[in-house]
Amino acid sequence: MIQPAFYIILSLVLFLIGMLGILIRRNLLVLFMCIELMLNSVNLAFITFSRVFQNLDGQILAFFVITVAAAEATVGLAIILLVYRSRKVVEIDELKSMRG
Amino acid sequence: MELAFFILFAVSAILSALSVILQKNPIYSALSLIVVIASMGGLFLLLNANFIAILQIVIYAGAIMTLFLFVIMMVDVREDISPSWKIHSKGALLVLLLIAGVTIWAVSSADSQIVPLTKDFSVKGLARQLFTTYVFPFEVISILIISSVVGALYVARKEEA
Repeated sequence: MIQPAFYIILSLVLFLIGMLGILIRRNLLVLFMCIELMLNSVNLAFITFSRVFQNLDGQILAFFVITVAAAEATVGLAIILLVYRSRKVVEIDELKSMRG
Repeated sequence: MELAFFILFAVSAILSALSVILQKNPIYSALSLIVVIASMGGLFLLLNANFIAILQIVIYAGAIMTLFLFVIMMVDVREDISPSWKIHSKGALLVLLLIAGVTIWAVSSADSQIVPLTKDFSVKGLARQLFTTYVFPFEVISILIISSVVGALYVARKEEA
């Protein structure tokens, strides 16, 4: 029988991988994918707790997270496209006009 | 049997997630992310979340990743410089590992079990709860999606000279 702890630890590992990606990568698109990865791992935790406590609220929260992630991806990718049009780069190292 | 499926999905999710952050070409990262999302869908099925598993495949793997691939197609994908380690990211990583250790210790010391379902976990039950208790957030989400579509169209439109 699978313990809920396995799912939670898997969710934690995926979250940490996404966080690591945000720390080490410099491409805006890959950073965005890491954010999606982290959102997904949180969904896994929600659904695990929903199953353990036999309560559908966790699934509904995961549903809302997926929906908000879709909206966020739409706007974020439009902004990345705009940044690319004005600067011709998508690397965050070269977007430092706001650095003091 | 269940454990075998769990190990299959978990291993493929972790390996593809590592591939997402280690691939130099963003297209390969996006394709690996699709594998992660599909394995997560399998895990959701193991947890009796059928509707969320379908949503995961349809919205994430279908819609969001297609959007990603379109944007990757439109921007000039350069081979990324090799992942760089800044000094502050080492500090952040240390904090992350600390959090991970504490979480793993806390989770493994709790002894909860996944017991057989006694409640109604079908799509019908989910829909009933979504459209009664959570009907207001649901409507708010629809406004959010409309505004994000309009916002994205406005931001990404061609500038009239």
